[in-house]
Amino acid sequence: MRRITKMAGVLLAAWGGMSAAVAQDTPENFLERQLTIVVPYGPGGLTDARGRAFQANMEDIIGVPVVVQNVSGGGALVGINFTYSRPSDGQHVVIASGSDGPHAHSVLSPSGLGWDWEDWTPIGQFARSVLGFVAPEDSEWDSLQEMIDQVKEEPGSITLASLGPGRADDLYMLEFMQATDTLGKWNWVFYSSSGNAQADLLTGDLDVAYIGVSRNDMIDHPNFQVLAQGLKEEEKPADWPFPWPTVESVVGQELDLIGASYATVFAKADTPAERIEYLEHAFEQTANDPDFIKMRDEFGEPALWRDQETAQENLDQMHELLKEYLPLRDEHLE
Amino acid sequence: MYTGIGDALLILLSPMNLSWIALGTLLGLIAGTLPGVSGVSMMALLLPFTFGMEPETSVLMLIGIYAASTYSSSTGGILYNIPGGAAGVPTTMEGYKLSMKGRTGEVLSTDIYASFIGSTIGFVCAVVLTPLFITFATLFGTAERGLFALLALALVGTGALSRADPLRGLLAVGIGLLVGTVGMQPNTGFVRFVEGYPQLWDGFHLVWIIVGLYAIPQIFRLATLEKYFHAVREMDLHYGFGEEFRRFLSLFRRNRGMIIRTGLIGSIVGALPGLGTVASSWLGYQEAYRSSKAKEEFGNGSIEAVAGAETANNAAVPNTIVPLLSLGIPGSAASALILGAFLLAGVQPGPQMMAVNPEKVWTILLGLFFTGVFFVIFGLPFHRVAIYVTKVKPAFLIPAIVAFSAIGTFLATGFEEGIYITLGIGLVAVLLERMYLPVANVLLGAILGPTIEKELLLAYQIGGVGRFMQPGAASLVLIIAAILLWGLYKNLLPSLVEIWSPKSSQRVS
Repeated sequence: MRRITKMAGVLLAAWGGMSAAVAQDTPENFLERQLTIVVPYGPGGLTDARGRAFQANMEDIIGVPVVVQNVSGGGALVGINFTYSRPSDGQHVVIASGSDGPHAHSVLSPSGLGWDWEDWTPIGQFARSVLGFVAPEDSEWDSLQEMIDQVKEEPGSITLASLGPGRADDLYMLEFMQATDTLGKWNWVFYSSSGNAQADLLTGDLDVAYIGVSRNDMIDHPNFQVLAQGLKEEEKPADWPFPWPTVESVVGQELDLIGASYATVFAKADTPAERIEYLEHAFEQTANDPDFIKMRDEFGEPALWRDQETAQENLDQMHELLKEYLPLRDEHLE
Repeated sequence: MYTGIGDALLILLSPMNLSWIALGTLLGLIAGTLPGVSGVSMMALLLPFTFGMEPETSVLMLIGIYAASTYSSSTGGILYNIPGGAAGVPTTMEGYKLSMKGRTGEVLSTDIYASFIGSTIGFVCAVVLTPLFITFATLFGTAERGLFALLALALVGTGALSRADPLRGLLAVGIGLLVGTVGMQPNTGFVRFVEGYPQLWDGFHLVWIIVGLYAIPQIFRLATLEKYFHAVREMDLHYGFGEEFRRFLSLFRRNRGMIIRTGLIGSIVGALPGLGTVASSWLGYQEAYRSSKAKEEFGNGSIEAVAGAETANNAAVPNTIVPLLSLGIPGSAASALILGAFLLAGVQPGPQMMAVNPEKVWTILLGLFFTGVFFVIFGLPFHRVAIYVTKVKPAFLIPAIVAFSAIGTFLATGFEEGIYITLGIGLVAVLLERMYLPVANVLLGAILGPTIEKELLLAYQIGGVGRFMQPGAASLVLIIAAILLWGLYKNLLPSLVEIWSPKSSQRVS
């Protein structure tokens, strides 16, 4: 009996110790009323769908309602400014992509901002949004290389669209053109949405568009063909479902900017560290939740989680590269 | 083509789905009637409640809101001169004037029955002509879209809208075009006038313009013209279902050709990406004017105008979904939300959808038709009560309008500065009205101007002048040139002849 009691005591102590350790690992939930996810675009788009996926699955984890607030305008800048205007208490976060987050706007914005990239911190990254060169299914060019050869031979003969202007996509395109020695040789135009560009690939106004391709419907699409995807070979997950060649493999060299861009959750950098820690914990838990993963898979954009440190490294690097390429954009736009 | 229609009917007729369409329709009716609260805002508010629903159910509720809010975007306009959305503006212009003459019941019933006929024509066109619409949409590139918007502007701006006072009418259109230039030029990225204000880089939001142009001046009128409204409140507003139905039947018999034509116009324009219900309602209005024998009523309260505009914009509704269902390309904010609901539910709209999930395509198209039935069922009793809004004292009506306008304006973009911008637009609108400049023309210019500029410049960037020489674009250029020349000939020539005639010279000497 004494032995049993002793064993029970040891087990109890071990359980207590483990609980304490777990309690120490789990940051304290500071959210009392709600968490507001600011979506810097109107309802209905890709960024909105990402915010809504958290809204649908996060409440059980954090124990308070998740509100999606659409604050649109200025290519995501208004939503970012709005989040910046809120107190630094971790109750407002903003979702943006690699092209339009605070790391990009702090470089690309044509007007002065009341903040800098250092005033922000990523909480983590939860989706990989890959852009790619898309042509009509019946295009007279079967590969991106053929298009590159064509514009070299006959400048202005191919109309290329990208999302912009004023987004990081401008710089992706300039990097691509510089690498292929085709700067100024494409008939380059801007579109405000992938949907409009897709419509004009069908009308024949566009020959090729650099738009989002990381959705399952682009595989074997009856109207479109993806000529190349902007993803680094080494970043391709083993189960990556998209079979197209990478832009780097077509160009035959490594590119700095064209690569995977990640959807990121941002908060203000002066939010108390323990709150940032809790937010990272909560978003990570949600991103690894089976229902969230299922929802994201069905949306056609597989879920993932990259922690704060990795995200910070990725975005810092992106920020520096954008600054490096900015003079090229200004020169080109002039 | 028609595979899956039986399954779709079974899905639709389940009590659960019928209830959700009914609820969506009811919410859409409310959203469209309130100033500034658009169908898109209501859809966005309800999106979280669709999580976990069957995909068909959530989409049915959303399309219920979408279709019903388009229909009811004119209800507020008829009742208190503030349209719920841009598609309701032509009806507001004519309907409110009729309402002030004590014909509220007649206008509301014309609105509802014409809308139902429009949604039925639109549904039939979507079912029968979808393959044709897809071909049509793929022929409509940048140049054609820009020129078509220019054609709509030329037709409406120089036609019915400016009939009473062409000079002021065109000046107001010009002011609207100027308003449309504010913000970032989408082809070049150059920010015009407002570089330091990112809130305005996307230009003035349509909800700000509508609320500013209509709600604010109306608040001033309500506050200052008490005697005028007192007269209206004394009127008998009897609303008999049978009596109003017979009155509409008589209108329909007299104008059935026009109503069917406007339905067809709405269906075709609705299927063109980017133009949608707003251009349809203006073109329906213009067609009603063109075929009317009582042109003098336009601008002073024309029941034919209400029938034409409402038939056209409701016919456009089912067809605005066609590019989404058939090509997977959302042509409007509302279609983007419906696309989002589909994707969240794991259903991928697009060319393969008719092959893989035909029942889902049919569920949506039939669902839109059912919404038409529901808005008649709900709309008639709603109108019976709603007509008494015209009898509400300004002391009660003004705070309600202010509150809903502020909420709607805030919901549109999510930032409070929008409310102040709307107030600014409203004060300018009051001044415009004092100068007898019609605000509907300003709105027309502000809506079509950015589309015309963006698409035409893009077309020029893509193919230079040669892009406008392609058959579709060239035909539109010729039509526009003919309209403008005819307008000049009709309006300017008689004046010039008079000035240069010998009699006139003698008078001068």
